Amino acid sequence: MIASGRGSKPLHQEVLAPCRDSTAYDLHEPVPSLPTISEMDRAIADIFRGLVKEETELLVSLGRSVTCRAGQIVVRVGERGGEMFVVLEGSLMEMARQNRRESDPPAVYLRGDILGEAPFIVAGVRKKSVMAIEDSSLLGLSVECLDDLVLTMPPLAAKIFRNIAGIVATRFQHEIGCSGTSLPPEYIPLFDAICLEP
Amino acid sequence: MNVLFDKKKSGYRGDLSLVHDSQAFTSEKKSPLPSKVTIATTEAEKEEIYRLRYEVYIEEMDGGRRHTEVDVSKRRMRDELDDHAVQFYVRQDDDIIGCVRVNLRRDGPWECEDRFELEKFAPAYPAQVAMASRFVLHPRARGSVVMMQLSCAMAELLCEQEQRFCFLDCHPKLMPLYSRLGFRIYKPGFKHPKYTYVIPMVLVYGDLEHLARVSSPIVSIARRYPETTQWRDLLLKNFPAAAHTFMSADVDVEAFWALLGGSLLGPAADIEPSDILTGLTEAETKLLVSMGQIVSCHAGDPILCTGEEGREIFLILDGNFQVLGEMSSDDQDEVTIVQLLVPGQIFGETAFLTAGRRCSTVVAMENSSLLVLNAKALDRVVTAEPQLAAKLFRNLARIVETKYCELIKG
Repeated sequence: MIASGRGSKPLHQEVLAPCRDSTAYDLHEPVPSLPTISEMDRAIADIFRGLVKEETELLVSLGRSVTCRAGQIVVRVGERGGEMFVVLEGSLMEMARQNRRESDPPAVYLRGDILGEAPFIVAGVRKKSVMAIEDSSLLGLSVECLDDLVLTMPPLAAKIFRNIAGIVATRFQHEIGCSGTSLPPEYIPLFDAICLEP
Repeated sequence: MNVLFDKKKSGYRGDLSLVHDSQAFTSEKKSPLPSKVTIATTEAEKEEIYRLRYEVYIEEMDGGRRHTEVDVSKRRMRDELDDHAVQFYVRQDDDIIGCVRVNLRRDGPWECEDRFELEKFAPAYPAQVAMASRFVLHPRARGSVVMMQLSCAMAELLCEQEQRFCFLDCHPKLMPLYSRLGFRIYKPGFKHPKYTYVIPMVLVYGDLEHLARVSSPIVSIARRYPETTQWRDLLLKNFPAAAHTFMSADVDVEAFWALLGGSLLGPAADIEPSDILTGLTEAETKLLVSMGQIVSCHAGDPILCTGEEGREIFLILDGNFQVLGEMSSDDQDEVTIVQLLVPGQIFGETAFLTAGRRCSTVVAMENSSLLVLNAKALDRVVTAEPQLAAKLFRNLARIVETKYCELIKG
């Protein structure tokens, strides 16, 4: 049973096959002190940000539901896939990659996050492997379905692509060691301030 | 109108009560606030102004590091230019909710005045040029008529004092705002020693044609004084770019598009097709670029600096730029990443999308020109032009994802 937490569920459901890959993590035990992107970033890095209930339901109905168990690998580096996944429930984490700095925590994906978006957005292959930390529910979205949305439901498509761009930009900031969001979203109107310097 | 000006003293006294027609400047704004503009004459009034500045520049905008002149213990922000300035303010109930400072050049030199090339404004320079600065609105006055009222009061005084030009420099995000008042970009920007990259602008009070074209709220004031093209001609003779840079969506979309010469789309384009425009129709491209203003910059100018605030997106029209990023690493505290950006490419998009600070420093490698896309206008496009917005944000996602993939690929 998929529950998006927003009262919606995808029309099609699929349970991922068990994964036999070995992982560096013992997923039967809680993963200690998993770092996550700050709550401030979360407010921006959420594909559902700014969507009204009906829009959320519509988006969820466009995709297929995927259930994965703790320890399963959802996307693998090097794969070609035209599908992007949205986390509806649960949590997932990026698996070790060669060039990640040791000091950097692995990225953790929570509700509203996207994963496997690289081929979806820029074509090519997946750049990371992502594994479920706990039993999780995902929404699989195809390129075609979102492209169609640009023509059929432009207001919804605009919000979704704005949110996807925001998520990717937030990750980019973190990757280059930028401090991330300086201001919470509610402060964005601050930039209306009529302040002339000097 | 009741402005009293004592020419024998380096100060003004009087009361300025204005209720101007607010329609031209408040079409998308909140309800007007009832208010009147006054020139500060007492120390108590000035202290209130300095306190409002402190609240906005230092506390709200986190400007403590930039403004070393502030008095933190007294929560006041004042500098030497206040010694001979005219201070306008608007009060509501017991509080000052907006203020602006005007300095007449004849009363003393300005900060960074060499950057304005004032000598080219002779014979108006030095006796008939003024500078506006420290334009501050309390949050509850933003989007109201207060800014317009302050601008009108300022215009009233400067016209009366036979001032021909009013200068200011501003953050790129404020260019559209000041353009609507009638200010023009007339020369390349510069990195202010204390602040970000700023754009010098000038307003010609006698240029009724331009003020009317931009629907400036001060046009009705300027009309009460003799019309002359002398000062506009002087500006355009010495700074021909000023003839073009006023063109924006607020003025004339077609003229602005003609200025770009279709170089962003046409077969004779002298730049690579821009990724940000991928999939956009000509009409959509025209609309998107009309949200911007063209600015020029000199070789070596740092347009963005790491850590600064700002959400504008910069589309390179001409010239090359260098991106200098800083990141921590295990074996070295800081690594500088150098990337070359060419015409057609953009920068500044990450901070736009995350409402964060700038993550890298971008420097012009040669004399260049940029289209500065206004962040607020881009935000509004989601509701105003959703199909364009969907394509635009998809393109932005692709641009950032491409950079991200390059980065994690190592």
